[in-house]
Amino acid sequence: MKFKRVISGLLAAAMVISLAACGGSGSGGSAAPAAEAGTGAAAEAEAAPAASGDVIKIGWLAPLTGTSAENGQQVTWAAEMIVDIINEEHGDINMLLAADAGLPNLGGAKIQLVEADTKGDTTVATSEAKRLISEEGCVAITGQLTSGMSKAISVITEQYEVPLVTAGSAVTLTDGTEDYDWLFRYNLTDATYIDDSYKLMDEANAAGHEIKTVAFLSEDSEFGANIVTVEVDKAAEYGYEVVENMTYAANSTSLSSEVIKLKDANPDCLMVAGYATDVILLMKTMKDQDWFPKMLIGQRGGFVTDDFFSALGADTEYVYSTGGWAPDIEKDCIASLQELYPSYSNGIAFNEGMSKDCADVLLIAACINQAGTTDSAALAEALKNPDVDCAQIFMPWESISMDENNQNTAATGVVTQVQNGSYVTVYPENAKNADAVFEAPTWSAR
Amino acid sequence: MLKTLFGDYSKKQLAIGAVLIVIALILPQLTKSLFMYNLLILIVIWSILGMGWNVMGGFCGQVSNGHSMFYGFGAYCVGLPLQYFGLSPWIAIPFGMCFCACVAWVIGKPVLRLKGHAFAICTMALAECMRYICVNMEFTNGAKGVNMFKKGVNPILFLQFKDPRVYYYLYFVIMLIVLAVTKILSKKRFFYYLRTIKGNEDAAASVGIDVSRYKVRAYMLSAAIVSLGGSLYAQYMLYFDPASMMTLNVSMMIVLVAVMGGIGTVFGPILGAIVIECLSEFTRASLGQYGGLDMVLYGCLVIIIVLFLPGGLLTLPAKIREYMDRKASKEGAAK
Amino acid sequence: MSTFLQAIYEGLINGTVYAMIAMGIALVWGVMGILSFSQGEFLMIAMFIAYFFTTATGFPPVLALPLCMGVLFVLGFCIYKTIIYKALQGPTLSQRLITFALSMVLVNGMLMLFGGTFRTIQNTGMDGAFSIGPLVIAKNRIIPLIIAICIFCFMLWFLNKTRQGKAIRATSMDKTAAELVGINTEKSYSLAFGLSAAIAGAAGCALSYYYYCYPSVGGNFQLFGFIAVVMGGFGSVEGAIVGGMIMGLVDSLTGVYFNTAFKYLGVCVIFMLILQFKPKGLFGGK
Repeated sequence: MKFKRVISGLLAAAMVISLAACGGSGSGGSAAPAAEAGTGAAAEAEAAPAASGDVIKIGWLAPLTGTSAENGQQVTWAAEMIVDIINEEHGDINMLLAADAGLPNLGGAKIQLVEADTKGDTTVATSEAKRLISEEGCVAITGQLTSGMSKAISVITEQYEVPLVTAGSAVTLTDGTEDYDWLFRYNLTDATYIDDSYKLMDEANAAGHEIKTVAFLSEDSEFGANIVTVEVDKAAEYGYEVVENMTYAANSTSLSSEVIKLKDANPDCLMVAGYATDVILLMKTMKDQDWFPKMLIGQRGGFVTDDFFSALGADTEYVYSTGGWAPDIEKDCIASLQELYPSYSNGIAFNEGMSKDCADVLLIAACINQAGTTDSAALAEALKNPDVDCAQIFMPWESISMDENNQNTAATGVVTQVQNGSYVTVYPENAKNADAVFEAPTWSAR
Repeated sequence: MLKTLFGDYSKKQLAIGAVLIVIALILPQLTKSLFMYNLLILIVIWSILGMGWNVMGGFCGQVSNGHSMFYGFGAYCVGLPLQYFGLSPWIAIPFGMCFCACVAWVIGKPVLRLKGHAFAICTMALAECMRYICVNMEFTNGAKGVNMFKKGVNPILFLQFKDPRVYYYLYFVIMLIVLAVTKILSKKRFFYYLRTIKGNEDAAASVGIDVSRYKVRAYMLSAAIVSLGGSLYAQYMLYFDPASMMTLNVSMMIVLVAVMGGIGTVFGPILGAIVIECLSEFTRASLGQYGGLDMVLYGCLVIIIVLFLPGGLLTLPAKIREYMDRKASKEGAAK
Repeated sequence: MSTFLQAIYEGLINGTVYAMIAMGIALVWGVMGILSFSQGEFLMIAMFIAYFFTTATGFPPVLALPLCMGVLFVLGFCIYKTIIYKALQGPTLSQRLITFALSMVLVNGMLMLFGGTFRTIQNTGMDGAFSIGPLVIAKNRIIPLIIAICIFCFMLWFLNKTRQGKAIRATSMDKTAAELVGINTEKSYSLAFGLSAAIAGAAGCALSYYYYCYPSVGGNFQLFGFIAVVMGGFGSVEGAIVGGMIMGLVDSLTGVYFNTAFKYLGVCVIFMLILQFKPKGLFGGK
């Protein structure tokens, strides 16, 4: 009897202690201790911003294992390169923050990229995001590669008030989250990419080619699902007839029934949204079944990876891809980046897939520099109104202007086509370096 | 009832239990790290999942490899009502549990006719089917996932807390309730029947147990508990997508949690969840950037534990004692 | 009509791959009662071997077939001797989890060693396609088909006609009885596990003709291998072949005539329907 009383007493005491500690600063009050934990490190960094040799941490979440491991690794290398350029003196590169070592407004403080693996899984991603915020004291988070990851992490960053810069392209990322204050996107949304695709088709028609019907093939994860919604909406707007709209399971064991259906429908233009695995298999299957549309427009994803070329070689010829970047954009720093990147990546060339996410790293660094502090509110303010010279970044944008959803409305994209083994810009008119080949020859005619 | 709950244990065991609970309650006060809070909450959620699976796989011996289906359904059952009707999770969570129990009831009879590996593969195929459906349907938001996070909602009504410790304490209490329910049930006739079925189905039928009915009931209970786990998970994460919830890997992890701890025991899943979550989170946090090393290490540790402790970690003390005894007797013999 | 024929043809080609994976799973299941989750990973390792062989020597991947099968046989044999042998003394569920953890180790080990690049063999020596009537037949799918047929014949011959094969079958029927008539069941076990890995090796070699290869590629095929085994009849190698073929056909026909998003759903539904009417699988009677 006595014994039970002791136990219940102990339990009650523990309950009271924990509830008291919780109630004091818990759900009732807005200043939760976890938020303290989140901004605590930032506050420490703020205490002595001037001392050079300071380190400012930026959280970097990328899939380093799992299906997208290769892509994640390459983008991570690119981000490391950008950070190195910022931290070292590179007078020869005409890029933001390159000339000085570190961030000049913070006494030459260095940027440190804290890398974490998302494994392509939202549970892991949020768990790691929390670690980056509270254990590592990161002042901002970026690099998730996909919209799905960004959505999951944005819940965390919103709660703990840490800026999240995303390069995911889903329209729903900013449209469904109007009241989010800490989610920023400088890169394009799917809407712009798909507008570009249809405008290119218009150009083809204007040039006397018969492009009337379109088919969509998209994978069944977050990425493809978002794109296909926009594609269908815009097809009506631009007046193209949709002859086939297919979703397939990502990492399919075979895509032959998809290709059989496509061959049956025989669209003039095929738009594909898929990751590298399926894009490689699709191209191989199309070749096996001896069919190729007049125009094949890839919506980034697998089309802008290095593996697309290394796995398919000459078969990639005539494929289009939309994109937020192209190697032949006229910005000074691109040549230097292309020269520098292979030393990070064992020889792989810098491409569209990595440019978007590492541009985010550069912009975060520039905004920290602009704010002059690592305080999250000031940083968010700077991210909202970045004062950067767009000639000094490697993206094609002329300027940056953020709307109320923290989406950059001034971002522009390009459409590229594989010609002689590499992507060449063919759209828009003012950026193009070559004329598009509108009607791709059949496999046997190559 | 108190007797069924505590009657089995000696005073020493009860004291250890009480101390453990006290430690569990105090632990979050000792740290300010979100990572640790997250770890604790995941442990609690996975304990619930493990306990749910254990009813079916541990006590009844029907090893399902498709419980991720109910995990996902649990999440959808709080996410979709909130999205469409603004329903509070306090109503949605019990609804989800009932819904999953109904699903289990419907599919239970045909599926439970199968035995052994075939049953496992069939549940796996079922879970895959459900994933394809959830990914491709409009009303589940398809692959875009469900976002439950809203700013400025009533934290208590909508279970959206800023302080993760509130989640932890709430979920901890829920876990204790689930634990108590399994403990009480394990003394009831229902669970004795299940154990008999596990031992030998034909023998169970011959003593007059309605085997298929009790198997379906176990399946329903199991589904309801796993659904609860899924709901709590969704409520904690506030965003989920079918691609990361309803996979084969999740199903296997649920099994692993129960087996690691001690299959068919009341406390096993909790121990399993603690070990599994600590292993995976800490190996990832320290080795995550070496692309794959953490998973190799994790896999090796799992192989070693499962290989050498087939009865789960709960049998570790007994094993050590046995080893000591054998050593002692050997030494005695040598003398 | 041509679409239908093409769908059937492609379905059969895909079916051979499912069938080969299913055969390995069926063998291990039949003989030692383990549901092996690492079969897909053996396939992946074989694909890597075929890839490196072809890029290093320039010969077509088919010449790597003996190498793939040999290496995988040895690997399977070693894994049996070190891990599975011990696991067999524990409960069935532990064995399943051990193969699952093993697959995790193999996938991530390969990721550490070779990275996650998607590799394909570009010069298989068989490029392009030709047509017979309405059928378009890709040249690079013919060799895999031949490999698969050879493996089927070899396995059926081995299990039914050779002494060792009969010993394996006897062990799978009744271990104690087999031991009583003087069969070395331990040898049967290790041989069966090695052989199942070797079949996965052959499947990997065949697949490398048209499929990409990277560390987690095995997971794409694993579940379908399981389903094919159960569909055909538990642990029956002949059943696994038929099960795999049915799956390939269902997958292809649902994709073409119903909805590509639901082609795997079609496979799962057909599978569950078959199980309702034949709970022991099409060839199950054991």
